[in-house]
Amino acid sequence: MPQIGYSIIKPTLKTPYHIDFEWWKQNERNWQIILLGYLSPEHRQVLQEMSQEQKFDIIDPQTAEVRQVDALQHLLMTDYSKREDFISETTSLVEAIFRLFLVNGNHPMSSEEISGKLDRPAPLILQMLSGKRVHQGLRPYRHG
Amino acid sequence: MTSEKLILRHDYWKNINIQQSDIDFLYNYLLETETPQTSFELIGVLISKRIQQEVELAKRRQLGDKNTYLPKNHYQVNQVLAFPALGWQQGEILLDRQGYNPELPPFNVIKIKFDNGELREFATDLDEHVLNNPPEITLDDESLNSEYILSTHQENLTQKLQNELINNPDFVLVADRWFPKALLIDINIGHLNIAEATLDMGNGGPLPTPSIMEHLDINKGNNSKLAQFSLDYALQEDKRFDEVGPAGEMLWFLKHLEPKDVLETPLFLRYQPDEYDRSVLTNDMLALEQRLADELTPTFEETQDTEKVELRLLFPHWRTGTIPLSYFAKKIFPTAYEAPHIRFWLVDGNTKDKFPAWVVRKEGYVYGLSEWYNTRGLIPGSIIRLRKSTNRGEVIIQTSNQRSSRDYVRSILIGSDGGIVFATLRQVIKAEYDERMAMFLSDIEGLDEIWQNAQKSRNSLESIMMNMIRNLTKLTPQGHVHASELYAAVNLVRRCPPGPILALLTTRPQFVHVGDMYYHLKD
Repeated sequence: MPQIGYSIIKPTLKTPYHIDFEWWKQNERNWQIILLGYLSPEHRQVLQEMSQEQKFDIIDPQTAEVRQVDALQHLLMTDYSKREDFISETTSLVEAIFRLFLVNGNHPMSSEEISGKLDRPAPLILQMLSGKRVHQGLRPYRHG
Repeated sequence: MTSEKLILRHDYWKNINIQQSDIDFLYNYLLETETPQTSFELIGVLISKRIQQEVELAKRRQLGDKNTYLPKNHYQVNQVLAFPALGWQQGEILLDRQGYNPELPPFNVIKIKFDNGELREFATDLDEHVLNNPPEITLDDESLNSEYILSTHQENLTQKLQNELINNPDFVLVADRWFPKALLIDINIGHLNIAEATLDMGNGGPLPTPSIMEHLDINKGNNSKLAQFSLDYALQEDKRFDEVGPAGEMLWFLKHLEPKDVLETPLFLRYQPDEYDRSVLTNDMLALEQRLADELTPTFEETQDTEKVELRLLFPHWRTGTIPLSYFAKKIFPTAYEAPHIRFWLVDGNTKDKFPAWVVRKEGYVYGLSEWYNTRGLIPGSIIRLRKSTNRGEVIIQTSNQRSSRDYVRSILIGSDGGIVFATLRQVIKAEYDERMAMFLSDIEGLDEIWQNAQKSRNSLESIMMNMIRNLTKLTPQGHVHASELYAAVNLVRRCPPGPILALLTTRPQFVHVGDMYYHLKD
């Protein structure tokens, strides 16, 4: 169930967004089930064999900054980064953006950057991302 | 290959300190080029040098500095690192651990505490990352654009450079061109004596440097420009000579043969400042002050056409054969980098006759018009028009071409008590005049005596104004005096710009404003 979001500064076309996995944990009771649904059967098996405490280090391709993610996030990103057909013409905008972040390792992107990759109007993307409701944990990226 | 945009501190050029290394660089530059350079040219050289210096510094930071963060390197705890991708922010390594990601080759992770207290982690011992290839430095920021820097900071940079060089005995300055003293060709006292004799034979000058050089036996080597610059410097340092050319042209004159009124401010133009508060001046007064264009008035707003100027002749200037070098007139007449006196040519716009004149920059007047005023029949209050000539070093001066006529004008007589008497009399007038400021003088010697006596005992400006208003109001049935009439009248006996007069008119209760800048004395 989408929740009401908040923001201190009005987002612009340059504001970076990402998938806020903390949001998922706090706002979606069945988050693990929903996110597991994005994994392939093979990766679901791998996940079951992993320790729930294991953290993975993700390296930013531009700055080499390291962020730690849990096993589920890691598998989502590694799984989707290898898929080529993850977005189709029938994929909704929210779903397309969500999958785009999974593919790129959840590297923050602005509405303009997302627009360039999905071929959808940037203002429309911003309108959707900056609305009162948070869709699939897509939230402004706050550094640190 | 990624690129890193080099940006200098926002106040880099504003607060630049000219360092000894800069001076040494410019000195060597002048040694190599063997050509005197203007301050502007040297500033351009200095800016390029500083930009190059900053680029090299940035490259050293990238490549040679062990404290620059590169993902492929290994670092120690407590080491302080600079992060190029984060605008060179600095932080200290708090801990070092093994990274974990089965999808990637082995790597380590360091935790950094940045200067702002922020904690972030970065990969190390990682061979494959874009940051391992130093980004190419780009120079597209305006802080690294020479043209932009020159247009924005020229005045500040020039001032700072001049302050450094003027006190440096290794540099000499001639007509805004700098050169190393060590490279100058020796000019001895014998050369200077011959230069004096050469100018003396030509009635003092003016002569350009090459014309003087023809008479001197100077070893020019293969650089005649250097020889010329050396002679210019020697002449400049010798008090017998005065450089009188307009900017960009070196002309020499024998100082003792310059007109006395160029070397010394004439009696009629000497001003002993009257303290006054400019904030009391009304907008109408400020507008009138601007129209009167007195050379002693502070700077005006830039609202006037600077290609031509119209001015009303005031008695002190009429008497000494001068033109006020007002704020606007300054833009018409030739100027110079250093020369206090500039000799140039005035051209009569009606007859095309040319006659020499002098710009006396500091004291604010142009000398040499007595004969022209006399020939053209000008009186105080006559209107003169000036405009730039297409010929360098020439200014066109003109009055309206009108036939002689007999008009009723304010005439100045000297009473038996030696005081001034105003009367409206028919006089022969030869040139266009301002009716409020026109004064026909029939007893110049009598006025001269008043000025001589004023040197011994000085009346207050307020008492002079009251006396003038009493006399002037007798000439009109309304009994009112316009502020510009009063300004012209006061200047019959004392040099004074409009400001102090207008300030007294508006602050002293005995002066009653009746509107439109007309005044009378309180009963």
